[in-house]
Amino acid sequence: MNFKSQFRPDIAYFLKEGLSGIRLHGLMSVAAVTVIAACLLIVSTFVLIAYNLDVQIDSLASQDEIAVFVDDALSRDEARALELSLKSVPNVAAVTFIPKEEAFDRYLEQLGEDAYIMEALRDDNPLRDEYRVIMKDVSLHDETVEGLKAIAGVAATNSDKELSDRLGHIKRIVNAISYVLVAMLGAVSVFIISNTVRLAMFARREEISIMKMVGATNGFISAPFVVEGMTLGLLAGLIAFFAEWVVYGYISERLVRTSGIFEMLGFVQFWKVLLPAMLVASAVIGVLGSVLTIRKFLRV
Amino acid sequence: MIELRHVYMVYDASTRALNDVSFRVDDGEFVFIVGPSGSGKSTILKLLAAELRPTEGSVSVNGFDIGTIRERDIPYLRRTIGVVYQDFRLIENKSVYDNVAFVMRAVGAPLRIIKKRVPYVLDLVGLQNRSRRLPKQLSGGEQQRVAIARALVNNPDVIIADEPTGNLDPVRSVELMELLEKINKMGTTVLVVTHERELVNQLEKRVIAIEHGEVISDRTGGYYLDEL
Repeated sequence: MNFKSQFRPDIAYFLKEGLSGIRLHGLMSVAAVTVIAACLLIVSTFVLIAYNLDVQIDSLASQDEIAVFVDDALSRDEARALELSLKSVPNVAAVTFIPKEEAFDRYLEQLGEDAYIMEALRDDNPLRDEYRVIMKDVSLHDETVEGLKAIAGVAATNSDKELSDRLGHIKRIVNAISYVLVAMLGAVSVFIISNTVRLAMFARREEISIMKMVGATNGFISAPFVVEGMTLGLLAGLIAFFAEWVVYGYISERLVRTSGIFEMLGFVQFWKVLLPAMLVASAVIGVLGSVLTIRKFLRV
Repeated sequence: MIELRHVYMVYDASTRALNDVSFRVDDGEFVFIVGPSGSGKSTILKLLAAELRPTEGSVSVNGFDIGTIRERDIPYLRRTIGVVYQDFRLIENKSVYDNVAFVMRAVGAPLRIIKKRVPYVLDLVGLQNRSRRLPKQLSGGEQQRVAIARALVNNPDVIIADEPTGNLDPVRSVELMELLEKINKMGTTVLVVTHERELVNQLEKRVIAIEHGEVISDRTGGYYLDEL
Protein backbone atom coordinates (compact mmCIF):
# COMPACT_ATOMS: atom_id res chain seq x y z
CA MET A 1 0.00 0.00 0.00
CA ASN A 2 1.55 3.25 -1.08
CA PHE A 3 0.06 6.69 -1.70
CA LYS A 4 3.24 8.48 -2.61
CA SER A 5 2.10 9.73 -5.98
CA GLN A 6 -1.65 9.85 -5.51
CA PHE A 7 -3.79 12.90 -5.02
CA ARG A 8 -7.55 12.55 -4.97
CA PRO A 9 -9.44 15.79 -4.52
CA ASP A 10 -11.74 14.76 -1.69
CA ILE A 11 -14.54 17.29 -2.30
CA ALA A 12 -16.74 16.00 0.52
CA TYR A 13 -13.85 16.35 2.98
CA PHE A 14 -12.98 19.88 1.79
CA LEU A 15 -16.62 20.97 2.11
CA LYS A 16 -17.03 19.40 5.56
CA GLU A 17 -13.82 20.98 6.87
CA GLY A 18 -14.49 24.36 5.23
CA LEU A 19 -18.02 24.62 6.59
CA SER A 20 -16.94 23.48 10.04
CA GLY A 21 -14.48 26.40 10.02
CA ILE A 22 -17.38 28.81 9.47
CA ARG A 23 -19.35 27.23 12.32
CA LEU A 24 -16.34 27.28 14.61
CA HIS A 25 -15.94 31.06 14.25
CA GLY A 26 -19.66 31.82 14.04
CA LEU A 27 -19.56 35.40 15.26
CA MET A 28 -16.58 36.36 13.11
CA SER A 29 -18.21 34.70 10.10
CA VAL A 30 -21.48 36.60 10.63
CA ALA A 31 -19.58 39.88 10.98
CA ALA A 32 -17.57 39.19 7.83
CA VAL A 33 -20.65 38.24 5.79
CA THR A 34 -22.52 41.35 6.97
CA VAL A 35 -19.75 43.79 6.12
CA ILE A 36 -19.08 42.21 2.73
CA ALA A 37 -22.81 42.14 1.93
CA ALA A 38 -22.98 45.86 2.79
CA CYS A 39 -20.01 46.57 0.50
CA LEU A 40 -21.56 44.58 -2.34
CA LEU A 41 -24.88 46.36 -1.83
CA ILE A 42 -23.31 49.81 -2.08
CA VAL A 43 -21.31 48.88 -5.17
CA SER A 44 -24.21 47.18 -6.94
CA THR A 45 -26.52 50.13 -6.23
CA PHE A 46 -24.10 52.53 -7.92
CA VAL A 47 -23.54 50.17 -10.81
CA LEU A 48 -27.31 49.83 -11.32
CA ILE A 49 -27.80 53.61 -11.25
CA ALA A 50 -25.04 54.01 -13.83
CA TYR A 51 -26.67 51.30 -15.94
CA ASN A 52 -30.04 53.02 -15.75
CA LEU A 53 -28.50 56.32 -16.78
CA ASP A 54 -26.92 54.54 -19.72
CA VAL A 55 -30.24 53.13 -20.88
CA GLN A 56 -31.92 56.49 -20.38
CA ILE A 57 -29.21 58.33 -22.30
CA ASP A 58 -29.36 55.89 -25.20
CA SER A 59 -33.11 56.15 -25.40
CA LEU A 60 -33.08 59.98 -25.28
CA ALA A 61 -30.27 60.22 -27.79
CA SER A 62 -32.22 58.16 -30.29
CA GLN A 63 -35.20 60.58 -30.26
CA ASP A 64 -35.40 62.35 -33.63
CA GLU A 65 -37.63 65.25 -32.51
CA ILE A 66 -36.58 68.83 -31.74
CA ALA A 67 -38.89 71.42 -30.19
CA VAL A 68 -38.43 74.88 -31.79
CA PHE A 69 -39.93 77.79 -29.79
CA VAL A 70 -41.08 80.87 -31.67
CA ASP A 71 -40.17 84.34 -30.46
CA ASP A 72 -43.07 85.97 -28.48
CA ALA A 73 -42.75 89.15 -30.52
CA LEU A 74 -43.95 87.40 -33.68
CA SER A 75 -47.63 87.42 -34.61
CA ARG A 76 -49.44 84.16 -35.26
CA ASP A 77 -49.14 84.66 -39.03
CA GLU A 78 -45.44 85.46 -38.79
CA ALA A 79 -45.01 82.39 -36.65
CA ARG A 80 -46.84 80.27 -39.24
CA ALA A 81 -44.63 81.71 -41.96
CA LEU A 82 -41.54 80.29 -40.26
CA GLU A 83 -42.52 76.78 -41.44
CA LEU A 84 -40.93 77.22 -44.87
CA SER A 85 -37.64 78.48 -43.41
CA LEU A 86 -37.56 75.55 -40.97
CA LYS A 87 -38.19 73.04 -43.76
CA SER A 88 -35.31 74.50 -45.74
CA VAL A 89 -32.77 73.60 -43.02
CA PRO A 90 -30.77 70.53 -44.09
CA ASN A 91 -31.67 67.22 -42.39
CA VAL A 92 -35.20 68.35 -41.53
CA ALA A 93 -37.74 65.70 -42.58
CA ALA A 94 -41.02 67.12 -41.28
CA VAL A 95 -42.33 70.13 -39.39
CA THR A 96 -45.55 70.41 -37.33
CA PHE A 97 -46.89 73.67 -35.88
CA ILE A 98 -48.32 73.61 -32.35
CA PRO A 99 -50.06 76.82 -31.33
CA LYS A 100 -49.41 77.86 -27.73
CA GLU A 101 -53.08 77.19 -26.79
CA GLU A 102 -52.70 73.57 -27.86
CA ALA A 103 -49.32 73.36 -26.08
CA PHE A 104 -51.03 74.63 -22.91
CA ASP A 105 -53.76 71.94 -23.18
CA ARG A 106 -51.10 69.26 -23.61
CA TYR A 107 -49.26 70.59 -20.59
CA LEU A 108 -52.42 70.45 -18.46
CA GLU A 109 -52.99 66.90 -19.67
CA GLN A 110 -49.51 65.96 -18.46
CA LEU A 111 -50.17 67.47 -15.04
CA GLY A 112 -53.25 65.28 -14.63
CA GLU A 113 -54.92 65.82 -11.24
CA ASP A 114 -52.74 68.84 -10.51
CA ALA A 115 -53.90 70.64 -13.68
CA TYR A 116 -56.28 72.89 -11.78
CA ILE A 117 -53.31 74.78 -10.34
CA MET A 118 -52.33 76.01 -13.79
CA GLU A 119 -55.89 76.46 -15.06
CA ALA A 120 -55.90 80.04 -13.78
CA LEU A 121 -53.11 80.92 -16.21
CA ARG A 122 -55.12 79.92 -19.31
CA ASP A 123 -55.88 83.55 -20.21
CA ASP A 124 -52.32 84.58 -19.55
CA ASN A 125 -50.68 81.60 -21.30
CA PRO A 126 -46.93 81.70 -20.52
CA LEU A 127 -46.10 79.18 -23.28
CA ARG A 128 -44.90 79.98 -26.78
CA ASP A 129 -46.00 78.82 -30.20
CA GLU A 130 -43.76 75.96 -31.16
CA TYR A 131 -42.79 73.65 -33.98
CA ARG A 132 -42.00 69.96 -33.68
CA VAL A 133 -39.16 69.24 -36.10
CA ILE A 134 -38.38 65.64 -37.10
CA MET A 135 -34.80 64.95 -38.24
CA LYS A 136 -33.83 62.60 -41.04
CA ASP A 137 -30.57 61.55 -39.37
CA VAL A 138 -30.26 61.75 -35.54
CA SER A 139 -26.46 61.79 -35.74
CA LEU A 140 -26.65 65.24 -37.40
CA HIS A 141 -28.53 66.64 -34.36
CA ASP A 142 -26.06 69.37 -33.45
CA GLU A 143 -25.75 70.73 -37.02
CA THR A 144 -29.53 70.72 -37.40
CA VAL A 145 -30.04 72.64 -34.13
CA GLU A 146 -27.45 75.19 -35.32
CA GLY A 147 -29.36 75.65 -38.58
CA LEU A 148 -32.70 76.06 -36.79
CA LYS A 149 -31.35 78.58 -34.27
CA ALA A 150 -29.92 80.68 -37.10
CA ILE A 151 -33.42 81.44 -38.42
CA ALA A 152 -34.75 84.83 -37.33
CA GLY A 153 -37.83 84.42 -35.10
CA VAL A 154 -36.60 81.19 -33.45
CA ALA A 155 -36.22 81.92 -29.71
CA ALA A 156 -34.95 78.58 -28.48
CA THR A 157 -34.78 74.89 -29.18
CA ASN A 158 -35.10 71.91 -26.92
CA SER A 159 -34.55 68.25 -27.58
CA ASP A 160 -34.09 65.02 -25.72
CA LYS A 161 -30.59 64.87 -27.17
CA GLU A 162 -29.65 67.97 -25.18
CA LEU A 163 -31.05 66.36 -22.04
CA SER A 164 -29.13 63.20 -22.96
CA ASP A 165 -25.89 65.20 -23.12
CA ARG A 166 -26.53 66.63 -19.66
CA LEU A 167 -27.28 63.15 -18.29
CA GLY A 168 -24.06 61.94 -19.92
CA HIS A 169 -22.14 64.29 -17.66
CA ILE A 170 -23.91 62.95 -14.55
CA LYS A 171 -23.26 59.41 -15.75
CA ARG A 172 -19.54 60.06 -16.02
CA ILE A 173 -19.52 61.21 -12.38
CA VAL A 174 -21.56 58.19 -11.24
CA ASN A 175 -19.23 55.90 -13.23
CA ALA A 176 -16.16 57.43 -11.60
CA ILE A 177 -17.70 56.96 -8.15
CA SER A 178 -18.58 53.36 -9.08
CA TYR A 179 -15.00 52.58 -10.10
CA VAL A 180 -13.60 54.04 -6.88
CA LEU A 181 -16.19 52.13 -4.82
CA VAL A 182 -15.51 48.85 -6.63
CA ALA A 183 -11.78 49.21 -5.93
CA MET A 184 -12.15 50.44 -2.36
CA LEU A 185 -14.95 48.20 -1.09
CA GLY A 186 -13.55 45.26 -3.08
CA ALA A 187 -10.26 45.66 -1.23
CA VAL A 188 -12.11 45.97 2.11
CA SER A 189 -14.04 42.76 1.39
CA VAL A 190 -10.91 40.84 0.38
CA PHE A 191 -9.19 42.07 3.55
CA ILE A 192 -12.09 40.92 5.75
CA ILE A 193 -12.20 37.45 4.18
CA SER A 194 -8.45 37.23 4.48
CA ASN A 195 -8.60 38.04 8.20
CA THR A 196 -11.39 35.56 8.87
CA VAL A 197 -9.49 32.79 7.10
CA ARG A 198 -6.33 33.79 8.98
CA LEU A 199 -8.16 33.18 12.28
CA ALA A 200 -9.38 29.81 11.05
CA MET A 201 -5.87 28.83 9.97
CA PHE A 202 -4.38 30.02 13.24
CA ALA A 203 -6.86 27.91 15.21
CA ARG A 204 -5.79 24.87 13.20
CA ARG A 205 -2.07 25.59 12.98
CA GLU A 206 -1.18 22.34 14.79
CA GLU A 207 -3.23 20.32 12.32
CA ILE A 208 -1.62 22.20 9.43
CA SER A 209 1.89 21.55 10.70
CA ILE A 210 1.10 17.84 11.11
CA MET A 211 -0.37 17.72 7.61
CA LYS A 212 2.80 19.31 6.23
CA MET A 213 4.92 16.87 8.20
CA VAL A 214 3.13 13.81 6.81
CA GLY A 215 3.37 15.06 3.24
CA ALA A 216 0.02 16.70 2.50
CA THR A 217 0.37 18.98 -0.50
CA ASN A 218 -0.25 22.70 -0.08
CA GLY A 219 -3.28 22.27 -2.34
CA PHE A 220 -4.81 19.73 0.03
CA ILE A 221 -4.10 21.87 3.09
CA SER A 222 -5.47 25.01 1.44
CA ALA A 223 -8.66 23.61 -0.08
CA PRO A 224 -10.86 23.71 3.07
CA PHE A 225 -9.84 27.34 3.70
CA VAL A 226 -10.62 28.30 0.11
CA VAL A 227 -14.02 26.62 0.57
CA GLU A 228 -14.51 28.64 3.76
CA GLY A 229 -13.62 31.96 2.11
CA MET A 230 -15.71 31.23 -0.96
CA THR A 231 -18.74 30.20 1.11
CA LEU A 232 -18.55 33.39 3.19
CA GLY A 233 -18.30 35.40 -0.04
CA LEU A 234 -21.24 33.59 -1.66
CA LEU A 235 -23.42 34.05 1.44
CA ALA A 236 -22.63 37.77 1.40
CA GLY A 237 -23.41 37.91 -2.34
CA LEU A 238 -26.79 36.23 -1.83
CA ILE A 239 -27.74 38.53 1.04
CA ALA A 240 -26.61 41.60 -0.91
CA PHE A 241 -28.74 40.51 -3.89
CA PHE A 242 -31.96 40.33 -1.86
CA ALA A 243 -31.11 43.56 -0.03
CA GLU A 244 -30.54 45.19 -3.44
CA TRP A 245 -33.99 44.07 -4.51
CA VAL A 246 -35.51 46.10 -1.67
CA VAL A 247 -33.12 49.08 -1.91
CA TYR A 248 -33.46 49.35 -5.69
CA GLY A 249 -37.24 49.34 -5.46
CA TYR A 250 -37.12 52.14 -2.91
CA ILE A 251 -34.59 54.24 -4.85
CA SER A 252 -36.34 53.91 -8.19
CA GLU A 253 -39.68 54.87 -6.67
CA ARG A 254 -38.15 57.95 -5.00
CA LEU A 255 -36.17 58.99 -8.05
CA VAL A 256 -39.08 58.69 -10.47
CA ARG A 257 -41.32 60.59 -8.07
CA THR A 258 -38.89 63.46 -7.43
CA SER A 259 -37.37 63.86 -10.90
CA GLY A 260 -40.58 63.39 -12.84
CA ILE A 261 -38.68 62.48 -15.99
CA PHE A 262 -36.18 59.86 -14.94
CA GLU A 263 -37.49 56.38 -15.74
CA MET A 264 -35.81 53.39 -14.06
CA LEU A 265 -35.88 49.81 -15.27
CA GLY A 266 -37.82 47.33 -13.14
CA PHE A 267 -35.73 44.95 -10.99
CA VAL A 268 -37.29 41.95 -12.77
CA GLN A 269 -35.74 43.16 -16.04
CA PHE A 270 -32.18 42.42 -14.96
CA TRP A 271 -32.17 40.17 -11.88
CA LYS A 272 -31.22 37.17 -14.00
CA VAL A 273 -27.98 38.94 -14.92
CA LEU A 274 -27.47 40.65 -11.56
CA LEU A 275 -27.73 37.48 -9.44
CA PRO A 276 -24.99 35.48 -11.23
CA ALA A 277 -22.83 38.62 -11.50
CA MET A 278 -23.06 39.25 -7.75
CA LEU A 279 -22.41 35.60 -6.92
CA VAL A 280 -19.37 35.44 -9.21
CA ALA A 281 -18.00 38.70 -7.77
CA SER A 282 -18.52 37.52 -4.19
CA ALA A 283 -17.00 34.10 -4.90
CA VAL A 284 -13.94 35.79 -6.44
CA ILE A 285 -13.64 38.03 -3.36
CA GLY A 286 -13.86 34.95 -1.12
CA VAL A 287 -11.27 32.95 -3.05
CA LEU A 288 -8.90 35.91 -3.40
CA GLY A 289 -9.11 36.74 0.32
CA SER A 290 -8.41 33.17 1.38
CA VAL A 291 -5.63 32.57 -1.14
CA LEU A 292 -3.80 35.71 0.02
CA THR A 293 -3.79 34.48 3.62
CA ILE A 294 -3.00 30.87 2.74
CA ARG A 295 0.01 31.91 0.67
CA LYS A 296 1.38 33.86 3.60
CA PHE A 297 0.56 31.17 6.15
CA LEU A 298 2.01 28.26 4.21
CA ARG A 299 4.81 30.39 2.77
CA VAL A 300 4.12 28.86 -0.62
CA MET B 1 18.17 4.77 2.31
CA ILE B 2 19.64 7.85 3.99
CA GLU B 3 23.04 9.21 3.12
CA LEU B 4 24.86 12.34 4.30
CA ARG B 5 28.13 13.18 2.54
CA HIS B 6 30.44 15.87 3.89
CA VAL B 7 27.50 17.93 5.11
CA TYR B 8 28.09 21.40 6.51
CA MET B 9 25.30 23.47 7.95
CA VAL B 10 25.98 27.09 8.80
CA TYR B 11 23.09 29.19 10.14
CA ASP B 12 25.11 32.40 10.31
CA ALA B 13 28.75 33.37 10.56
CA SER B 14 28.96 32.42 14.25
CA THR B 15 26.68 29.33 14.25
CA ARG B 16 28.07 26.24 12.58
CA ALA B 17 25.60 23.43 13.31
CA LEU B 18 27.18 20.64 11.28
CA ASN B 19 30.80 20.26 10.32
CA ASP B 20 31.64 17.68 7.66
CA VAL B 21 29.09 15.07 8.73
CA SER B 22 28.94 11.84 6.73
CA PHE B 23 27.04 8.64 7.43
CA ARG B 24 24.77 6.26 5.66
CA VAL B 25 21.74 4.32 6.95
CA ASP B 26 20.70 1.38 4.79
CA ASP B 27 17.15 0.15 4.32
CA GLY B 28 15.96 -1.97 7.26
CA GLU B 29 18.57 -0.67 9.75
CA PHE B 30 17.82 0.41 13.34
CA VAL B 31 20.08 3.32 14.29
CA PHE B 32 20.41 5.53 17.34
CA ILE B 33 21.69 9.08 16.98
CA VAL B 34 22.98 10.29 20.33
CA GLY B 35 24.60 13.47 21.52
CA PRO B 36 24.23 16.33 24.01
CA SER B 37 21.87 19.27 23.47
CA GLY B 38 23.12 21.58 20.74
CA SER B 39 25.30 18.88 19.18
CA GLY B 40 23.51 19.10 15.83
CA LYS B 41 21.00 16.21 16.13
CA SER B 42 17.97 18.41 15.46
CA THR B 43 19.68 19.95 12.44
CA ILE B 44 20.15 16.47 10.99
CA LEU B 45 16.44 15.68 11.49
CA LYS B 46 15.43 18.96 9.87
CA LEU B 47 17.67 18.19 6.90
CA LEU B 48 16.13 14.73 6.51
CA ALA B 49 12.61 16.25 6.39
CA ALA B 50 13.78 18.99 3.98
CA GLU B 51 12.92 21.71 6.49
CA LEU B 52 16.48 22.92 5.85
CA ARG B 53 18.88 22.55 2.95
CA PRO B 54 22.57 21.83 3.55
CA THR B 55 25.02 24.71 3.21
CA GLU B 56 27.49 22.30 1.66
CA GLY B 57 27.61 18.58 0.93
CA SER B 58 24.77 16.27 -0.06
CA VAL B 59 21.86 14.74 1.81
CA SER B 60 19.94 11.96 0.13
CA VAL B 61 16.74 10.51 1.63
CA ASN B 62 14.88 7.64 -0.06
CA GLY B 63 16.05 8.77 -3.49
CA PHE B 64 15.39 12.52 -2.95
CA ASP B 65 18.34 14.93 -2.99
CA ILE B 66 17.57 17.48 -0.25
CA GLY B 67 19.95 20.06 -1.72
CA THR B 68 18.11 20.24 -5.03
CA ILE B 69 14.57 19.01 -4.25
CA ARG B 70 11.84 21.26 -5.69
CA GLU B 71 9.37 22.82 -3.22
CA ARG B 72 6.48 20.95 -4.78
CA ASP B 73 8.22 17.57 -4.36
CA ILE B 74 8.82 18.00 -0.61
CA PRO B 75 5.40 16.51 0.33
CA TYR B 76 6.28 13.38 -1.65
CA LEU B 77 9.62 13.07 0.19
CA ARG B 78 7.81 13.43 3.53
CA ARG B 79 5.41 10.62 2.64
CA THR B 80 8.42 8.29 2.73
CA ILE B 81 9.22 9.35 6.32
CA GLY B 82 7.17 8.90 9.49
CA VAL B 83 8.12 11.26 12.32
CA VAL B 84 7.49 10.69 16.05
CA TYR B 85 8.02 13.61 18.45
CA GLN B 86 8.81 13.79 22.14
CA ASP B 87 5.62 15.79 22.81
CA PHE B 88 3.48 13.46 20.63
CA ARG B 89 1.83 16.35 18.73
CA LEU B 90 -1.62 14.78 18.56
CA ILE B 91 -4.72 16.80 17.66
CA GLU B 92 -6.59 17.19 20.94
CA ASN B 93 -10.14 17.32 19.58
CA LYS B 94 -9.79 14.29 17.31
CA SER B 95 -10.20 10.69 18.51
CA VAL B 96 -7.31 8.23 18.34
CA TYR B 97 -8.83 6.76 15.16
CA ASP B 98 -9.25 10.19 13.55
CA ASN B 99 -5.73 11.29 14.52
CA VAL B 100 -4.39 8.34 12.54
CA ALA B 101 -6.97 8.36 9.72
CA PHE B 102 -6.46 12.08 9.20
CA VAL B 103 -2.89 11.66 7.93
CA MET B 104 -4.02 9.03 5.43
CA ARG B 105 -6.68 11.42 4.19
CA ALA B 106 -4.04 14.15 3.97
CA VAL B 107 -2.12 12.13 1.38
CA GLY B 108 -5.23 11.30 -0.61
CA ALA B 109 -5.80 7.69 0.48
CA PRO B 110 -9.24 6.32 -0.48
CA LEU B 111 -11.74 5.87 2.36
CA ARG B 112 -12.07 2.09 1.94
CA ILE B 113 -8.30 1.68 2.42
CA ILE B 114 -8.30 4.04 5.42
CA LYS B 115 -11.03 1.90 7.03
CA LYS B 116 -8.90 -1.22 6.67
CA ARG B 117 -5.48 0.24 7.41
CA VAL B 118 -6.18 2.34 10.55
CA PRO B 119 -7.55 -0.55 12.69
CA TYR B 120 -4.63 -2.69 11.52
CA VAL B 121 -2.04 -0.12 12.62
CA LEU B 122 -3.84 0.58 15.92
CA ASP B 123 -3.80 -3.16 16.56
CA LEU B 124 -0.07 -3.24 15.78
CA VAL B 125 0.67 -0.63 18.48
CA GLY B 126 -1.76 -2.28 20.93
CA LEU B 127 -4.44 0.41 20.91
CA GLN B 128 -7.26 -1.40 19.16
CA ASN B 129 -9.53 -0.82 22.18
CA ARG B 130 -8.74 2.87 22.48
CA SER B 131 -9.71 4.06 19.02
CA ARG B 132 -12.69 6.18 20.15
CA ARG B 133 -10.83 7.90 23.00
CA LEU B 134 -9.47 11.43 22.85
CA PRO B 135 -5.70 11.88 23.39
CA LYS B 136 -6.22 13.47 26.82
CA GLN B 137 -7.99 10.30 27.98
CA LEU B 138 -4.83 8.27 27.34
CA SER B 139 -1.61 7.81 29.33
CA GLY B 140 1.67 9.28 28.02
CA GLY B 141 2.79 5.87 26.75
CA GLU B 142 -0.49 5.36 24.93
CA GLN B 143 -0.31 8.81 23.37
CA GLN B 144 3.16 8.05 22.07
CA ARG B 145 1.82 4.80 20.59
CA VAL B 146 -0.84 6.83 18.75
CA ALA B 147 1.98 9.02 17.42
CA ILE B 148 3.81 5.90 16.25
CA ALA B 149 0.62 4.55 14.63
CA ARG B 150 0.25 7.88 12.87
CA ALA B 151 3.86 7.81 11.67
CA LEU B 152 3.41 4.24 10.48
CA VAL B 153 0.02 4.38 8.82
CA ASN B 154 1.17 5.71 5.45
CA ASN B 155 3.67 2.88 5.26
CA PRO B 156 6.83 5.02 5.21
CA ASP B 157 10.29 3.69 4.34
CA VAL B 158 11.80 5.30 7.45
CA ILE B 159 10.49 6.10 10.93
CA ILE B 160 12.34 8.96 12.62
CA ALA B 161 11.71 9.23 16.35
CA ASP B 162 12.91 12.43 18.02
CA GLU B 163 13.40 11.73 21.77
CA PRO B 164 10.35 9.45 21.73
CA THR B 165 10.79 8.38 25.37
CA GLY B 166 11.49 11.86 26.72
CA ASN B 167 8.08 12.07 28.41
CA LEU B 168 7.73 8.42 29.43
CA ASP B 169 8.63 6.44 32.55
CA PRO B 170 11.31 3.70 32.25
CA VAL B 171 8.83 0.82 31.86
CA ARG B 172 6.87 2.61 29.08
CA SER B 173 10.16 3.61 27.46
CA VAL B 174 11.25 -0.03 27.20
CA GLU B 175 7.83 -1.00 25.79
CA LEU B 176 8.10 1.76 23.21
CA MET B 177 11.55 0.66 22.11
CA GLU B 178 10.26 -2.91 21.79
CA LEU B 179 7.49 -1.59 19.57
CA LEU B 180 9.99 0.28 17.40
CA GLU B 181 12.08 -2.89 17.17
CA LYS B 182 9.01 -4.84 16.09
CA ILE B 183 8.30 -2.25 13.38
CA ASN B 184 11.95 -2.44 12.30
CA LYS B 185 11.75 -6.22 12.02
CA MET B 186 8.79 -5.75 9.65
CA GLY B 187 11.18 -3.98 7.26
CA THR B 188 10.94 -0.29 8.16
CA THR B 189 14.16 1.62 8.76
CA VAL B 190 14.14 3.18 12.26
CA LEU B 191 16.19 6.21 13.30
CA VAL B 192 15.93 7.17 16.97
CA VAL B 193 17.39 10.36 18.42
CA THR B 194 17.70 9.96 22.17
CA HIS B 195 19.48 10.77 25.42
CA GLU B 196 18.47 7.53 27.15
CA ARG B 197 21.75 5.81 27.90
CA GLU B 198 20.11 2.72 29.48
CA LEU B 199 17.86 2.07 26.52
CA VAL B 200 20.62 2.50 23.96
CA ASN B 201 22.91 0.18 25.80
CA GLN B 202 20.17 -2.39 26.32
CA LEU B 203 19.27 -2.69 22.63
CA GLU B 204 22.83 -2.97 21.29
CA LYS B 205 22.07 -1.36 17.94
CA ARG B 206 24.20 0.87 15.74
CA VAL B 207 24.90 4.17 17.52
CA ILE B 208 26.02 7.36 15.78
CA ALA B 209 27.35 9.86 18.32
CA ILE B 210 27.36 13.56 17.42
CA GLU B 211 29.15 16.33 19.27
CA HIS B 212 29.80 19.94 18.24
CA GLY B 213 28.34 19.18 14.83
CA GLU B 214 30.67 16.29 14.10
CA VAL B 215 30.30 12.51 14.10
CA ILE B 216 32.62 11.37 16.88
CA SER B 217 31.67 7.72 16.83
CA ASP B 218 29.71 5.36 14.58
CA ARG B 219 29.69 1.77 15.82
CA THR B 220 27.32 -1.00 14.93
CA GLY B 221 26.33 -2.84 18.07
CA GLY B 222 28.11 -0.08 19.93
CA TYR B 223 27.29 1.53 23.20
CA TYR B 224 26.41 5.03 24.33
CA LEU B 225 29.74 6.77 24.83
CA ASP B 226 30.49 7.52 28.50
CA GLU B 227 31.82 10.96 27.73
CA LEU B 228 28.54 12.22 26.22
